[in-house]
Amino acid sequence: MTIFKTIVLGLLAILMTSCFEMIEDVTVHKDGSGHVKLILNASQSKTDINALLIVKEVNGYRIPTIPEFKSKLSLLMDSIKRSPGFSNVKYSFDDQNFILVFEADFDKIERLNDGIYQLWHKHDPINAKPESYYGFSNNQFYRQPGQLFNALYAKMKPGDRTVLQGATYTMLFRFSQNILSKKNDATKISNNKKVVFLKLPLQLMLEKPSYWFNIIELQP
Amino acid sequence: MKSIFYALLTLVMYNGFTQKTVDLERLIPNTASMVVKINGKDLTQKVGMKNIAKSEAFLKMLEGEIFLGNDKKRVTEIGVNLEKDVFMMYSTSQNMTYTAYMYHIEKPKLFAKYIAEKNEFVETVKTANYTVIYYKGSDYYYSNSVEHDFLAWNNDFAIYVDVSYVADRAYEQEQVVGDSPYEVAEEAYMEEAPVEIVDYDEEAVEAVEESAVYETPEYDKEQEAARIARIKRQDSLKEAERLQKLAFSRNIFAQELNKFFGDSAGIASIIDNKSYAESKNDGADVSFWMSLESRNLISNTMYNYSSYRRRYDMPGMLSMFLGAYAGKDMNGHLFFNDQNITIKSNVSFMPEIAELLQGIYDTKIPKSYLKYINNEKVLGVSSASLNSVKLWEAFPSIYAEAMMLSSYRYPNEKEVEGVRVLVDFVSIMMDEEALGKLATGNAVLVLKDLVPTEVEYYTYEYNEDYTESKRVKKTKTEVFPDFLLMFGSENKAFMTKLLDLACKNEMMHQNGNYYYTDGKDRDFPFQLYFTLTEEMAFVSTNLNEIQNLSEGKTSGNLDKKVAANMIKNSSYFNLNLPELLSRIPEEQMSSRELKMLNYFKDNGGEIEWYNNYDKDQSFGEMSMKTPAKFKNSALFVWDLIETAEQF
Repeated sequence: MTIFKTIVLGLLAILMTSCFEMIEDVTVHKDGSGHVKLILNASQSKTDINALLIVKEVNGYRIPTIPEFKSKLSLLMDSIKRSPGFSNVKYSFDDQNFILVFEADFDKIERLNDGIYQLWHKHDPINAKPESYYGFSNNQFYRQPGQLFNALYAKMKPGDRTVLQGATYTMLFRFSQNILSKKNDATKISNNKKVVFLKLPLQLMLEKPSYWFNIIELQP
Repeated sequence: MKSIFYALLTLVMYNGFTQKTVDLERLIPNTASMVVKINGKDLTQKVGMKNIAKSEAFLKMLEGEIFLGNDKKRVTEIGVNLEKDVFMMYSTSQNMTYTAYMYHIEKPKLFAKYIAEKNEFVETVKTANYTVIYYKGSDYYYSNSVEHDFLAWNNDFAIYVDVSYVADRAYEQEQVVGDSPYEVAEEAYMEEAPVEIVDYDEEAVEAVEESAVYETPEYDKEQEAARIARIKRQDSLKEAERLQKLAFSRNIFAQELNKFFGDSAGIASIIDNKSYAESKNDGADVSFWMSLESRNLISNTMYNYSSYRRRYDMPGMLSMFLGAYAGKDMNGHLFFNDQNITIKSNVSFMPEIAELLQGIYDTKIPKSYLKYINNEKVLGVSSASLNSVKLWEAFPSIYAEAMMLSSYRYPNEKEVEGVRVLVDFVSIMMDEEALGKLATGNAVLVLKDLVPTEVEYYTYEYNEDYTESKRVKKTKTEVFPDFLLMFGSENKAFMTKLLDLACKNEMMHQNGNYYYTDGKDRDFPFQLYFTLTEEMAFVSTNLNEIQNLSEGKTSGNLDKKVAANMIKNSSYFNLNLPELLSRIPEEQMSSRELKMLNYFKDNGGEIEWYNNYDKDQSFGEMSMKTPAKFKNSALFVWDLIETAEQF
């Protein structure tokens, strides 16, 4: 529990600044296996983060030190490495620019649902529930918002929410097959018909969870 | 609450005519721990009736905050006398705590009509002496709550009350005092025969709910009926409880309102309070008074509740901070003069603290400090002087006092004794003279500039097909303060040891007579330079300046007025606001932020603040010059409100 608390607080320190970007980059192969890459980039706010690390507290939240954060992050990554279905788990944390990158291969995309639930459950065992954020079958891929972000957003104090104003969220879904259609009009299909792309203000996506939703039909 | 106050502040800037004179101030009970008075007559004269009547911003505030949403009315149609004083108070009586706003009514019928037209979720109750409407919150139909704000009025004045605490404990013990003028009837369904509760299998019912699309078997229907009956009965009980609480709380509200509209004989008024009476200043446009001794006004039970309030609401937090660290009461006055806006404040202290503070604040900044300040490079200056030896001597006592006062409950004898022992121990162990030499208590901070600095960051970009991404280095401009901090330190040998230790641990570096940080260490992410003399320590962001200081070179030519204020006041602050704002980079501002910035660049003036201590009181004064194009500062504030509304 301490691991997750430290990581959440550490991430909170990063998110408590005005400008950052989150990138969700998922590659799905024809057999449902694939690769996930998640990036949290707060380099644009590194001056603010360094200041937070000195004062050690913001809005009543204690900010963990960099070594604390790294240590707990390492334990978390070890836990993911041991999770069934994940392989080639890699991560890096640039503590000068505050960029966290996580990458892993998965044998089927539902492993991501399991992973998110495990993390959520360890952080909040009362409210966590298994949900289907990702799915792939019969050449159809879907992405759903679920309740996780809503739950986290609802728990944020109104004052804390203002820090999301400058943040962006990017979603990339890459496929080996050609894309025939997609349901979410806010997303774009690349010229080569292999990638679906979305970049929006994070606060907008949290306030309107339908932006997370998509059903992508692929050529058999 | 702030916005309501803000609206009321502007409310009185409307000119009207009076009928009767009711002394609202006399109606304020002596249990009030905070009172704000807005001088309606003076303010309306300064701003002018025409300005107020045509103000879109003012009307919008009235609609949004006082009358909750009528968008078709004009200022002249609200029936309120805006030329009279408006009062805001925070009060704790036997059974309730509330914030109230009182204002005069000019046209009672118009006022009542306006209220009746606009309010949808209200219940109006008429009594012999007044009419009251109870506002129901948006959660009324979804929760078990009872209303906690109401507006009452007669032909002379109105009072809006926002209740933050009703004595639930008293409710539980049925400690109702006096007869209630209200009888709240139970709803008809409460009269239905009680429903028999049937035992049922909760898991089975939940399973049925989950598979609701399928046909429900006969035996499950019975269980479902039992469940619904149980829920209905629970709802009935909750509603009955809500109605009981409603009747109880309205009775308490009525008792309080009777003090304002009924016979107030025998009820002590705030104007009989010596502290309040002495604090009055009829020349002020807005006056503020707050008792920091509210602990004495409330019961032990209430005090436990107040510990929560002290943490989470404005009067509570202010009271906690000042009660713990300052004194027994404070007051302030705001003056919208022709030449400037001035705020004068006064905090009085308890005798034992006052004696300690008298010793601490008996010093002033030495003139010798002035020679280090070059006026051409001053955006702002802040100075403070105190006797640090006296401070360290008093520190254990003040800290203990603050510790006990800020406790969430009254400390018991054992805890008080424990704190006393701790104070004695710290006093014996502490070398006040040595600490006093290390930092004498005189300090000056000079803000010289805001320096634009290019800061690198990274972003992720993609090619046309999003098949490749790359990390791209970019730059943005941030501003860092360029400052000089100097403070008295008469133990150069010890300070040198400290800096040498920092060098040994590679937090700092030394070059000749000065020390510096390279900005690479996370704990010191800025390049700072340090140097020491026999009597002073200097910290600067500028290498040349620190080199000159380390070689004894000075170029002091501080503005005479600023210099005089620095050396004659315990604390002093001066800021050239327009010049400071002109140094802020505009490239990342939104259009609204840019408009506001330009407004203050054009209209902001020099800001000055000073504070002194005399006898048992601390006096502060802050002022800002009125922009040349405004006849008086009230018009400037009025224009600021109007302009902000347009952005």
